[in-house]
Amino acid sequence: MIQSKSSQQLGADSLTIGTHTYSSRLIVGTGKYPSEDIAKKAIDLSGSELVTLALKRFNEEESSENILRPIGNRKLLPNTAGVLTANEAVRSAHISKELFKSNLLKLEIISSPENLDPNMEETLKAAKSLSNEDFEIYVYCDRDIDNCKKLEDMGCVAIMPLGSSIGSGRGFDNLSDLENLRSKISQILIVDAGLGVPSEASKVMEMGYDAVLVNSAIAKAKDPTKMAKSFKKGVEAGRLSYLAGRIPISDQAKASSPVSFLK
Amino acid sequence: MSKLQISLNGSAVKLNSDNLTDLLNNNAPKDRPFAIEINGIIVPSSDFENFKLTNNDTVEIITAVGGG
Repeated sequence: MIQSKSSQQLGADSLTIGTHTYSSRLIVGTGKYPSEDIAKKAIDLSGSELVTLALKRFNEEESSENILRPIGNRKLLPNTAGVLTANEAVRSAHISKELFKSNLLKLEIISSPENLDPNMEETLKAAKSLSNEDFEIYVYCDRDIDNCKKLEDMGCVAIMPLGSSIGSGRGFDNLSDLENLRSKISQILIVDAGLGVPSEASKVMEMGYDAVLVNSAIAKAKDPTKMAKSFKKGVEAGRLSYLAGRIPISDQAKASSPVSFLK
Repeated sequence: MSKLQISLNGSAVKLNSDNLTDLLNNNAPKDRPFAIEINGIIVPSSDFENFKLTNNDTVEIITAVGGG
């Protein structure tokens, strides 16, 4: 059974987001897997302790699939996916709280069904409204520093800028924006959306991001279980590298061996 | 009683009973949690037992699916 543990049990490098502490810095989504069995294996191998899921009208015809089975006892991060306005997001948040008996929420307001990038005007409105309630808000957002700072000031527990468009696998549209954000935002920062391969997860973890959220890159890989395992390693490697600290970048060669023979 | 007509998850449905629990026994999932919204208002599970439906109610049964 996997549950959040106290930071003391988890050791010095645990990740605390809001009131919960995790040993894994990989959050995985649960959409688009080819089967429940593959989803279960992939989620297990990812080592993730926090998984996202969505809300939908119950449909008897689709009821043979039950996403809660592969998730097991992991902590749930329900999203507001599919909503286009702040009002819809608030409605989704309330349903989510009733359904899961949890105040964890991934606030996600897209621009249109075709353009899945965040609608920041509506996102800021919804975050403001929900921050007056007892939600712990993980917010999907753009890479604009002012917007991210506003979300931080509203008390969102995690700021989650997109790497690139949802499901695109493009990695980063603008890595220097993400780097700049890390230097300006002290709240938990998580890259959400667009990552395609573990080296991209490593890259942002090396920059000091606290975690990454990955769904399509794992679920739609040729072998989701192998990809889940590789993202786990990529996130861990990036985090360790960040903690180890890279050497200064130099324009000149700097020898690591003696530069003259037998002198 | 005459038949009630409601909207259930976007489809028109005729009911013989106005008890919410009868509707849920026939239409809600048995193997996973769900939430109920009626006319845009969430009905807590503790209220299901005594909740009476009225004509033209809009009922949503919502559950979890995979998502990112």
